[in-house]
Amino acid sequence: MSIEPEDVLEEALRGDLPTPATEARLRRRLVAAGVAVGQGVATTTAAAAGAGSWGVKLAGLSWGLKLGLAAAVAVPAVGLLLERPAESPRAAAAPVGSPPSSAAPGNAPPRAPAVEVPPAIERAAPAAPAPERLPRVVKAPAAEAARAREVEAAPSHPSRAEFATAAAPAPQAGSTLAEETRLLDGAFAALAAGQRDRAAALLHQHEARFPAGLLVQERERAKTRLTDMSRGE
Amino acid sequence: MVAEALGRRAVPPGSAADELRGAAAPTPDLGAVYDAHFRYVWRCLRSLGVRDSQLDDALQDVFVVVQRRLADFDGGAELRTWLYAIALRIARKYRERRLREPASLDDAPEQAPRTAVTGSGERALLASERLALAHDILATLSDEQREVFVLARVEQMSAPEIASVVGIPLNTVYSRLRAARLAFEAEVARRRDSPRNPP
Repeated sequence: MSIEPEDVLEEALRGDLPTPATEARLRRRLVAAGVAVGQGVATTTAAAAGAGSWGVKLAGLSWGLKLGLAAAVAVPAVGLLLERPAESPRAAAAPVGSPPSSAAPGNAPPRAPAVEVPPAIERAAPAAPAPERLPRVVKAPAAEAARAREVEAAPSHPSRAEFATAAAPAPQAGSTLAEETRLLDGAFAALAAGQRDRAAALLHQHEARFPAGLLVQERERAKTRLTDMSRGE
Repeated sequence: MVAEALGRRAVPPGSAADELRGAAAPTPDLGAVYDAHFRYVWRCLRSLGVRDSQLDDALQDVFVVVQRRLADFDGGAELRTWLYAIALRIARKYRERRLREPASLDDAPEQAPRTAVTGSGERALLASERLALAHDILATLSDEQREVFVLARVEQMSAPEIASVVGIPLNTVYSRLRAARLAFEAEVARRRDSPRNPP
């Protein structure tokens, strides 16, 4: 990877914010630990922001995926218009209202806070309560269960991931381009996650199945990155 | 006085802190404080060198302190400054702990590209690599330089705010920030000139 100018790197640091799933996990954890952060709006706000930035997200997709998305969305839509004009399109959009990802599992168990208050903070708040008056919730299954119920009962605001899942149609069987895109997007995602073996397997699979495919150039770029990553260790 | 200890700054109208404080609301609500600021506190902790494996713990510690102290917050200082002062000290505590404690297996994933970037494909990969590189370069700064650099360049705080948060004189903020920027740029240049990164 080429080295970026300083301001680009600083921008990357400024854009380093928790994902909606992380936000939801942190909130559950704090609630379970007795920190009254409330049900909050952060997750739903983030989800709304995610939906708002859907255009930006779309713009970032590879051209192959864009093409596949456009085709898969346009063909059924045209079909609906031509064949079943009386049917409401809302019915097709029903899966978007699935429960939000804020109820994702994997929440780490809360632990008792052990915080030393720094001198500057002591100055800032001299009349603070003694540490023994801190909430000492080691485990609060009732609170956790209540939170889970709240999450389930909350209005449905799908996260970006769910929106993508609901809105992005599955690649059509037999579609070469869709299958190529699936393999290469998987390879790039594996590279981003540092999973070299998985990336190599997907690239190998792509090469075996589509030696002269439409996305050969993308495959070569991914292979270059894989080589760079291997050389970097 | 809290205001004297943390410094005052003209808060732009309509800012989150301004809304939270309000004329007739002496004590901001913890939930509102959390909603308005926790993402930036999370980012700040990460930029200040708290390991990914300890990030949840550190964030929890920050808001436990905030919950304890919020009733004493008199609204004279900017809430954001106050929060970052807490986050900075929590981050220091975790960095010190990291130095004291031997590396554990939990730290192994730290070597993998660290990313909060969502999405897939080449664009996400680039963003992830860029962020990992930025964190790597930050890690080459001294702790003192890193704190000032992060508050100034990432969190976009003013020098007087940084002086309040870190607890150093204003002139020290300027000199430390200058040194930090030079060090950051030098490290970027060094990596750019490295044989592994041909122009």
